[in-house]
Amino acid sequence: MSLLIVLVVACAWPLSACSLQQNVEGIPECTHTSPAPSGALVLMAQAVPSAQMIPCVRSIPVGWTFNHLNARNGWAEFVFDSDREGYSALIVSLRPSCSIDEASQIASDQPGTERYERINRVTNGFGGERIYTFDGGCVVYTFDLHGESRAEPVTEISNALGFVTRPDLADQVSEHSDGRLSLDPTE
Amino acid sequence: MTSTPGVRAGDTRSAPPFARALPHRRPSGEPPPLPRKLNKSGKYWLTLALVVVSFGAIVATTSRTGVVMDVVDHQVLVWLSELRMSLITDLMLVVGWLASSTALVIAWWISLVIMIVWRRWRHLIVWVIAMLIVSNLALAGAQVIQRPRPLDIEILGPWHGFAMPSAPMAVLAATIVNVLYALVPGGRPRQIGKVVGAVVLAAVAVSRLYLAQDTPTDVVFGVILGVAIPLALFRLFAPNDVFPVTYHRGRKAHLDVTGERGAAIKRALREQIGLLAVDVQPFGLEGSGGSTPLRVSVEADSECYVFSKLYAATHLRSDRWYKLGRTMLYGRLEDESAFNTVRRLVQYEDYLLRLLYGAGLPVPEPYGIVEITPEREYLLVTQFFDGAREIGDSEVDDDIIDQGLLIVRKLWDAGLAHRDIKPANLLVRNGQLILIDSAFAEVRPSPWRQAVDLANMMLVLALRTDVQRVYGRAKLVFTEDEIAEAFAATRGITMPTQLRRMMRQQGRRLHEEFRQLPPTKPKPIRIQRWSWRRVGLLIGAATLAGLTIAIAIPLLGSPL
Repeated sequence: MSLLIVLVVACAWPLSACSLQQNVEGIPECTHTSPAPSGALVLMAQAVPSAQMIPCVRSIPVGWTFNHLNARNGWAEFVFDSDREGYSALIVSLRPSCSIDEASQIASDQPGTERYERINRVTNGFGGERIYTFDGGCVVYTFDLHGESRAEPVTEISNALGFVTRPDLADQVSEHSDGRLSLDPTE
Repeated sequence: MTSTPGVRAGDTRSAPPFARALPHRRPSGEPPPLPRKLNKSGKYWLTLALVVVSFGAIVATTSRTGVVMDVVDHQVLVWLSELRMSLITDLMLVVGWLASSTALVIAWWISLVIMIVWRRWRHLIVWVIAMLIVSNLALAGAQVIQRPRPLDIEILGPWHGFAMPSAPMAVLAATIVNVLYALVPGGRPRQIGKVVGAVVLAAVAVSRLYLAQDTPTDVVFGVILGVAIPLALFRLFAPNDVFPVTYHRGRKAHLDVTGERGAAIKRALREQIGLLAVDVQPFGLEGSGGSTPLRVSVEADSECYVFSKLYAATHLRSDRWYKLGRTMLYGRLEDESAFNTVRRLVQYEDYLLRLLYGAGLPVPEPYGIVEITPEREYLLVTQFFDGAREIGDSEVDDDIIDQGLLIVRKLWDAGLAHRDIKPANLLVRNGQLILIDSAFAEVRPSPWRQAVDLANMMLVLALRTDVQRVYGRAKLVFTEDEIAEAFAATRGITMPTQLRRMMRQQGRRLHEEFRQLPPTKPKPIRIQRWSWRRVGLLIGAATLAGLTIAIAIPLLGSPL
């Protein structure tokens, strides 16, 4: 009986993940379906408290899979794998500051940000970085593609990503708690 | 040749000098003498863990519950944040280091070394499994619940990943429980350790709350998981009364017979075979690795004892590993089938002892089997030879030599083999030689095995005398061909370890001397036997060793 309880305790939690059919991978979705704000987005915002924009996922293109989210005080990142481009084909990281040395500025496709590109490799696929800077932080897309085509997968996955502004996220948190809690410490 | 030179079988048979009570049948539903159980605290912690898991599922599915929890937690953290001062913050960061990856890996390595040095393998395995379950459960729970770090407050210390349950607190709590149950001896030291552990856990919890790394519910959930899982696993798979944590050298197979088990043994002896036991003491532990030998004082007009061997699951496993090891080293030299249950192991030894006794061999009278914990612990009770000494410590004259040789002849005639003839199993009392320990005995053994019994007996007898004398007496009971066959069959592993060690200590090559004596010298009999099973076992063992190394290397890292 006691052994049964241990087994139940050990198995129930991971199994409940499957039964709940929720986003157990911790995908920071731009549009959250539940009334609560995305825990993953809030966690990323907490990792870099100065960042006014938080990267998020609009949708995941066919052939791409969300690998994991990693967040700790000071930085956060999430990783995508691709069936054609390989494991960790794209790493999206949020940081308080980024180096833009040897990077070329181009017109940004994300409102409120400046965009820079740095190309590291064009043989055997593509390796490079796309950097978005904004108030209080920056986001780096690190591409490590090993497929045959270059431009197509970069565009495909880039279009699937977006940003949520910190004030919008703070509003979601406040609204969900009926104004009793805020995202950031109140002065 | 079966004529005997006037030797007499040891007169070991006389009515036992103690009174016996009427046995009492245990009615259905009544607990056995030593029931297998979790302690109460283990059940409480497991129930709490179930509550935590259920609550986690509720939080993951209903957002309103999460909001209420966030607001309550926030109030506590705000209150604590009002105490923030730079000096206290520095102190809390230092205290919080105890739940860091570095601190936990240091604690793990130190504990690992201690467990390896003291060969506490069972505790080590339970530790690793408990830690794997706790860390993975904490990570899986955090991934399912996806609770962010505390809202609306400045987080001062380092953090990583989702907050609920607190993985650092869960792993720290599991480490403390593991240390208490794998490294700290039971009783007062462990009680003191529990207080110290609770203080450490509380200090780190306060630190993490003060620094707002976790909320109170994250901490509570982490601690409950971290305590409940290892506590339950240690209580179930390495209970202190069966696998006590001690720091004195000696065989680990011996069970503690004080406390609850001691009382259970006395009660079981009275209820099951009517023996009124007064005291139970370990006896001759150094000579026994496969059981816990005991001397039991029983009520009688004068000082009176019975001998008993306590068998438990741990001995069953030892027997299994021993036989598996022999099969890998030598192949299927003889019957290496392991026992499936402790009950069958004890039944076998009791049956063989009764056969030996019935065949007129000078062996202890069997008094029966006593159940301590069903399917887990049994006691084999026999006659005790008070004042008997090992043959290695006794005077050996021609009469003793003849008695020893007659024992082997009787074994042969009865179609039995003892298979463990060594000085520790041959006792001398009042000029009579007594054969003990029927654990390895066999019915209808191979001729090879019978020959080995003869050679081992002659070697033991020659330890205290000389080869020529023993050989001369042996020729009166056995033919020269039988003696030659015995020494052709016997070498290396076929001689018990104690016998080999004593020959080495004496610097005598008794085996070689005996081999030279018979006029015909048969070729040594091969003891390496190859079979598909042996090949399979060797390949399996090598694969398992490789896998173990592959698994063990990552386990050396931090559990966080």
